[in-house]
Amino acid sequence: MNAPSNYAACEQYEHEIADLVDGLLPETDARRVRAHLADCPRCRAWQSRYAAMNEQLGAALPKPALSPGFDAALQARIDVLKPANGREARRAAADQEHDVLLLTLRKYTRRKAVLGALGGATAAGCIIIALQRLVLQESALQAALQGSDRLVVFGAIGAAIAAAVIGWTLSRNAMVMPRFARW
Amino acid sequence: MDAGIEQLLAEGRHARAFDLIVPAFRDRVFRLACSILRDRAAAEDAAQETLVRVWKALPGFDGRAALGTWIYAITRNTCLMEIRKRRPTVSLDDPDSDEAQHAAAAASVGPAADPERDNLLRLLESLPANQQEAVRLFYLEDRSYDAVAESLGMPLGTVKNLLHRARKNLMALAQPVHEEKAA
Repeated sequence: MNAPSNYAACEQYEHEIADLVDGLLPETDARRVRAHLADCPRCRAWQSRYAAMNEQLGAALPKPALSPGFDAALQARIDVLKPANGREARRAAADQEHDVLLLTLRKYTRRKAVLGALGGATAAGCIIIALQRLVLQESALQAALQGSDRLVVFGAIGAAIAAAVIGWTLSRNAMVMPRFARW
Repeated sequence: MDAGIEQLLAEGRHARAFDLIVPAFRDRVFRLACSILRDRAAAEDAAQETLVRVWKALPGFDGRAALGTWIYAITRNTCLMEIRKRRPTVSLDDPDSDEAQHAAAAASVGPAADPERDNLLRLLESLPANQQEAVRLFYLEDRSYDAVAESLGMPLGTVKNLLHRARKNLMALAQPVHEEKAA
């Protein structure tokens, strides 16, 4: 039997005895602990009391289970939360539509700028050609309006006006506004 | 199990991930709630509340902690909030308190009246709250230290020490009763 001075050493065994009772001690350690138990009545008594306590606790503590309706009740609560997610989805769709609209606006703005520039360049070119004829040649205006080139002058002026009108019209009408979806 | 769920979470498929989380975690969430609240109905409500919170928080889960660790932390917080909601000024030792009645109700679940079992449960009630939780959870989790450590968010060694102290305390408390019987 262990002397009282060895009880501190016996206490070191308590963890392992508990694991032995719970079946959690590796076999090599279990052999060592069993050898100690064979020689130590104090530890045998402790093991016996621990095993009884362990068994009593295992039997005494209730092991409740979830009720059968648990999943259905949880699903009902989650379903209530899902419309909030639906609103989120609609919001995300609106954000996406907004982004598409911005892209469309940028695209048509570029087209408008290109058409405007082409129209303006055409008009300017025609006006320059006409002015060359009118200003730089002798007896310019009269000669131009009465001479053999008058058709060219009138044609150039008309073409310039037509080009300016077409360019301006295209730039005004080319941008088709996309429709917003209703939600 | 967790790998499939975490893959879905990484892909942003939160609803599908939640469908897998519920069967994988609901029982352990419930058992953890049982060990803290000591009342089957309250534990089931807490398990529902926990899983609803998981559903709401799932898009924000960043994977820094393991999924189980995260869910059990939510469970413990939910249970602590439930305990705070109860009347804070009533002592757990007051036989008329809700807690004492819950404990009595919990104790009454299971086998028919057994004086030894009732005495053991009374002794268990006298232990510090953390030791009680660990003991209850240990037997609810089929004596798995790993499961208790994961659920309580504690290192394995800490859980073993806590359980050892709790069972030693119970044995010390139970000894006078046995000695009286022997006399």
